[in-house]
Amino acid sequence: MEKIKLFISLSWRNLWRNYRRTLITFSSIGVGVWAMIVLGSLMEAWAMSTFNASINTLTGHAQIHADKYLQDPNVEYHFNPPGEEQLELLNSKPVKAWAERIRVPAIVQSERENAPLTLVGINPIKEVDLSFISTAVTQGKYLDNKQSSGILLGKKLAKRLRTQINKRVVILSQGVDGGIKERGFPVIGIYEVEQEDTETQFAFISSTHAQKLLGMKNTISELSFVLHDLENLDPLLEKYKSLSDEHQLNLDIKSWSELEPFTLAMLDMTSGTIALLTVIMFILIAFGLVNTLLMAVYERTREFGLLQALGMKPKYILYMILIESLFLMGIGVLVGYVISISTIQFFADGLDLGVLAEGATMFGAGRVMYPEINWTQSLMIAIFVWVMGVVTSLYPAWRASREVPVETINKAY
Amino acid sequence: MSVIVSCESLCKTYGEDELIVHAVDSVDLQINKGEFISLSGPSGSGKTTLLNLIGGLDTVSSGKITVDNRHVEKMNKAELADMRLNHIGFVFQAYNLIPVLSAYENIEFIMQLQGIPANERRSRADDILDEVGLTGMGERRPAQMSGGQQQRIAVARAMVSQPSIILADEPTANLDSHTSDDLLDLMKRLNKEHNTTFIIATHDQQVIDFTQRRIHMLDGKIDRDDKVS
Repeated sequence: MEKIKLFISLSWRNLWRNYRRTLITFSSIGVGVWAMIVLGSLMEAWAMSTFNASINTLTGHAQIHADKYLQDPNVEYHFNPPGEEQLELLNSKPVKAWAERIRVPAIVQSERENAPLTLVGINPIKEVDLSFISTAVTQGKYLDNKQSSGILLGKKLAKRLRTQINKRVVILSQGVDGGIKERGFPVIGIYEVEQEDTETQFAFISSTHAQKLLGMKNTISELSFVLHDLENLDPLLEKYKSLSDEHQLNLDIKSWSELEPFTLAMLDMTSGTIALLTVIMFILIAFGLVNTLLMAVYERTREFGLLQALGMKPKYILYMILIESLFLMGIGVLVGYVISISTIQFFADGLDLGVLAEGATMFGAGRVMYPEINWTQSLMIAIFVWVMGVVTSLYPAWRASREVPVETINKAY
Repeated sequence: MSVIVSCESLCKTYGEDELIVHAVDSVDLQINKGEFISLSGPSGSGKTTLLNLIGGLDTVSSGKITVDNRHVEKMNKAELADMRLNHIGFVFQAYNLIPVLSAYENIEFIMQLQGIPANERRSRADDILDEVGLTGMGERRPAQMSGGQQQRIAVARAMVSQPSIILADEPTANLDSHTSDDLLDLMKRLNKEHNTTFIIATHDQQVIDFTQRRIHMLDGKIDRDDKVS
């Protein structure tokens, strides 16, 4: 214990012999750790933004369709609304919100232009907690209820159709009987979202009017839901699938990851990129650290010789340098950690990508990112850098312990 | 008197073939406990090398050397470190105090490595500081002391662990004659009071004149070995 105290005391004091160099080393380690944690957090925020945008657009955490609908999404593939047992599942605690939809390809015609789109019949009340549409209306109003007879258009589409609030547009789509169905709807709301493609892709009417228009009676083409906690998704889907099989409903039940493979790939890539980034940054830090410690060792070869001459075993010199590196890395990592956590907290209310937003939305991410402190990840990075830094210092420490007393002690000052 | 250092046909060579240098050449020597010895000779005569071999700071090329009946030439690095820690004290020309430690901590250093409890360390360090005449200067760092004071601390550090032998390599080389006298008086007193063997490698006639046994080396061999009563 006495020896450990002695080594700790010596190592600590040695650290401050060249305090400028020590401070510069702290800074370089700190900046490295800061960059790793903050970039990791931003990348995660980016990935989560993409994920949330994808989930929030219309995907939800899972969707249920009639078999073959996803291969050929048309009115032909529709199914009955959930029965009693399915409803029990959908209304269970893990489910935050669910809603049925009618979703078919259609053409919209204004008095001047026409455009292809996906017509989405929604239950306006249930959709509030499920997707973006209820909060995205910037002109006019949202659909009041299932009976509302208006249509919601994206801003970009409305511009392309050269239409506006209170004007009428005509929707043309194929009905269940195979005939072309058409009906005029007053434009009651214009919505805006960050992903402009969404504005041209979807128009929303109430599900009751969609079913009437297409002759679907009370059948639906899609059921989507979101959960409070994604952990519960797999068991819930399993239950729903077994119910579907039991009643031979012939449904296609898919999770968000199956529906949005690009988003899944991006999330996977993010973790890999963070790990790669950590390793690259660490290699940069390691070179600086080895350089600093080697310089410190070379400067003190005479002293290491003296310590050995006085009876200090080579292994104790190794321990002493390792303790020194433990301090050096520890303080550097701590400084970087504290600054990175403060930086992330500073941007926790949102980091507006501004001019970069156009690029971001191309990849499905939102304009504003919300970096969060990932305690596990940031601690892992800090511990990784600390431990690897100490491991890296083994070489200079070993060099110091190999100094032969007589060769070093007789070196001139 | 018991023999504390014994050298038999002790050789130390550097280099190979035509470039070989016999720094210590077939030295036979016996040193008794409590002797106060000077090792003198011109530069390159092998006195420092002999001192380093006795202290286990350098490796033996051939021959035998025992310190306190332990064969130094057979020891590994850790055993040599243990021997230096527990049986030998060193005083160097350039003082060689640990710059980040205070005088008091420099003195305590070896005792800490030996695992001596804090109370005993403090008491011994206080005593030795008194003995070397530096009472009250324990908290100073080496850079805050004169050369003579630093060398006194070095002697105190060498003495405090109560070694059998103290090896001093040109201890007065960086000191003025007055300070050298003081240091020699101190070492002589410690030699008498503690019966510690002192082997001092030196060029300094003042030091040589102070010692009881004067070994003169030339070309790696012992040229003269005079005892003065």
